Amino acid sequence: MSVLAYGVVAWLFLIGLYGVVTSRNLIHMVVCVSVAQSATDVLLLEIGYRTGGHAPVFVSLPAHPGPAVDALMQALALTDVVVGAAVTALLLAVAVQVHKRAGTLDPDELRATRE
Amino acid sequence: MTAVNLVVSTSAVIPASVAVPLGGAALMAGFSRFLPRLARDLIAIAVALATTALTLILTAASAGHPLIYWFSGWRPARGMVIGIDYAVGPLGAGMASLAGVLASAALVYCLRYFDSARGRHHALVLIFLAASVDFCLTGDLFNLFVAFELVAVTAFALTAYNAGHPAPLQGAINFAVTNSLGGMSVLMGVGFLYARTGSLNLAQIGQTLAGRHADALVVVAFALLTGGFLVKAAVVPFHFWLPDAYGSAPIPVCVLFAGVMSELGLFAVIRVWVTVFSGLDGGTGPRMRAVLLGLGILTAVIGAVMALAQVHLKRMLAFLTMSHLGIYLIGAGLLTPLGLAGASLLVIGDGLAKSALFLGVGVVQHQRASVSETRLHGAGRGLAVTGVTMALGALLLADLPPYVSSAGHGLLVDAAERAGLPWMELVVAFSVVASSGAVLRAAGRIWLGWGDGESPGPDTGTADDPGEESESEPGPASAEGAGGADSGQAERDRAGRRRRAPLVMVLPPLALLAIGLGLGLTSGIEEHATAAAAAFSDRAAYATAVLGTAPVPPAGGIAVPPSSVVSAGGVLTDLGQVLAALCVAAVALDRRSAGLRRALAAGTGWLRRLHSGLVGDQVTWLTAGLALLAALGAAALH
Repeated sequence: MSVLAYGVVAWLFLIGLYGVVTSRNLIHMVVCVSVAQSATDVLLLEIGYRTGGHAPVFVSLPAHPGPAVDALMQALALTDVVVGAAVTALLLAVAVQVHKRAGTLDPDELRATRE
Repeated sequence: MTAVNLVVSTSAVIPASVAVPLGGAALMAGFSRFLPRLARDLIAIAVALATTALTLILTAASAGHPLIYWFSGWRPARGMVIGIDYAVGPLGAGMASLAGVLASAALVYCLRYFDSARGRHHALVLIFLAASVDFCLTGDLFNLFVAFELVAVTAFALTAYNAGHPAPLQGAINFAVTNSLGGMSVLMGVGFLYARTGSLNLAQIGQTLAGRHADALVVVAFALLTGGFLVKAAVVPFHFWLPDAYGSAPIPVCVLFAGVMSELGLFAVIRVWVTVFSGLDGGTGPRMRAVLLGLGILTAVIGAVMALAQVHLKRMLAFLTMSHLGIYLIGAGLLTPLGLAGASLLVIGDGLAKSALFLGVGVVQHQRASVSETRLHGAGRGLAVTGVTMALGALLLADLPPYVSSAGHGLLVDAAERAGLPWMELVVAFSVVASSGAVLRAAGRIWLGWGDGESPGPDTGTADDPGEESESEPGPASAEGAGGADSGQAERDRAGRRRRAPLVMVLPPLALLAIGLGLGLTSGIEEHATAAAAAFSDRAAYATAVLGTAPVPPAGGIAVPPSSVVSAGGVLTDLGQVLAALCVAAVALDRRSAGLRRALAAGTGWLRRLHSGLVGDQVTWLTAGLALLAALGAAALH
């Protein structure tokens, strides 16, 4: 479980980075940022995971034998999801504006800050 | 008596310093449409000023011993942290006050900068301020990440504020993508540190790691955390987003970026280094110092060279900011209280002066509709006060005494000499002279009409982008609810061009410079800064204060090393820098030195081509930088 999860983290982050670097379309790029972001969520969940652990719910449920997984890391992952949603929404809004103003979604054609 | 009152009331002041700007932002976002324009602006300014006052109280009250505030009173039990704390020291609170001052100045400036005042802009600025204060005060690693992201997301939105033009959009994309990846890097670092130590509290993590050898996991966590913060601090090779964002953001936003945001990145690097990693076993300090100094020198020199190569004024100031960030990193990277004190005073003084320069450029842009140095050749007539502001700001950035930057420069040089690196003074002098010389050259060309009107070659810098030309005249799509009254005012503004610049745009930069001058004339400012930096650099004292395992050590325990700042040598060095900057400007404007300029342009062409403005390139550099940092971190910590 552990090795697989860390492998998934590395794969998601690197493939997300690769996508951002090579992207020729802003929408595609924003999705790649989200892919890289999901690597951090998987990492946090894996750090908080305990083999055989149950969900960290302690009220109004029959007592569960054994340990619970770390609720703190889940809270962190949840916060990260919120941050990611805000960034994605903002970037997509900018991409829509770019398409409106410049008529293209290719970041390579958008070199207004340089020339 | 007053001191006692301050200490007693800080338990209310600490949370209020974040709650006040956040509440003000909510008010702005929710109700600004029901308020007349002037009321909106004035409420936003009042909130920013109140935040400044609160953080100034904290700066005064925390001198000597840190103020620890536990949210909801969840104090540590038997040295185990269960709650979230604010650990307020004079350095962090001073940084927060700087943010408050600059936000206030930017909001005053907005009274006339935007043709239609928009509640959302003020709300974003106030959230930015609240997040900056949170960032400076927090003692919790995850809280630090949240503040980091909150600063970043509001900054992305503010960069893209003039969404009617392609340049701000591209600036915002580059900024958002690189800094989001930086944020992810920070969060992964946070996760790894939690995996190793089981805590998110900086003091507790530091205590757990103290005396241990760094294993691979700690090294990776260090590289991810530091790398993420260095993206925000725009340190080479993480800096490529900076000119794009600064060059295209509205002027009041640039003030916040240049004076606060990047400095926060450096603040976090040093804070995390001191509280978390500095206790690691194995003599990590000297090697770490080499890494930080190397990065600082690269950033300072590359920023200065690039600033000289620009004719786009905002990009020039962006590279000047970057060069100065490198100097702060040199000061802080010496990892001695004296160096950190010098860097802190420089952050305050340069932050005020850089903001004044940006505001001055904003006046020119508002009145003359261009930010190109060559296109504005001789166009400064009628804007004399702004011309003086620009020249004075550039001279103060070259450490003209008795400005506060001069005191900081003296401390930094002193610290470098004590660390056995006297040649560091030359690196700092080169960067300061070149970047200030660039601004003086622009001022000479615009206000005195010296030099050529046209660009020496197509390769010497960035042309004006069309978005800059008309930034103060928002297109219909970007004007949020521009009613008849607003567009009428815009008409009046356009008709009023070529007349006097509005006072609310001319005075704030002068006020900022006056604050810096006042601080520079304050006696004992060096001693205060050194004491604050010494407290900031003491990991063990910080940990005991937060964890409450032992009584807080009295302030008298901090030995303030005597400094040679007021010596004649320091003043002469500063005056030499100022003269050298003037010489650089004179040579750059002299028609006879065209050959020299062409040679320089050819020599630095490769560097300018690296700043391609392509987000793919920037992310590639970022990835390479993270890998480099991991390798250096392994060498320094292992």
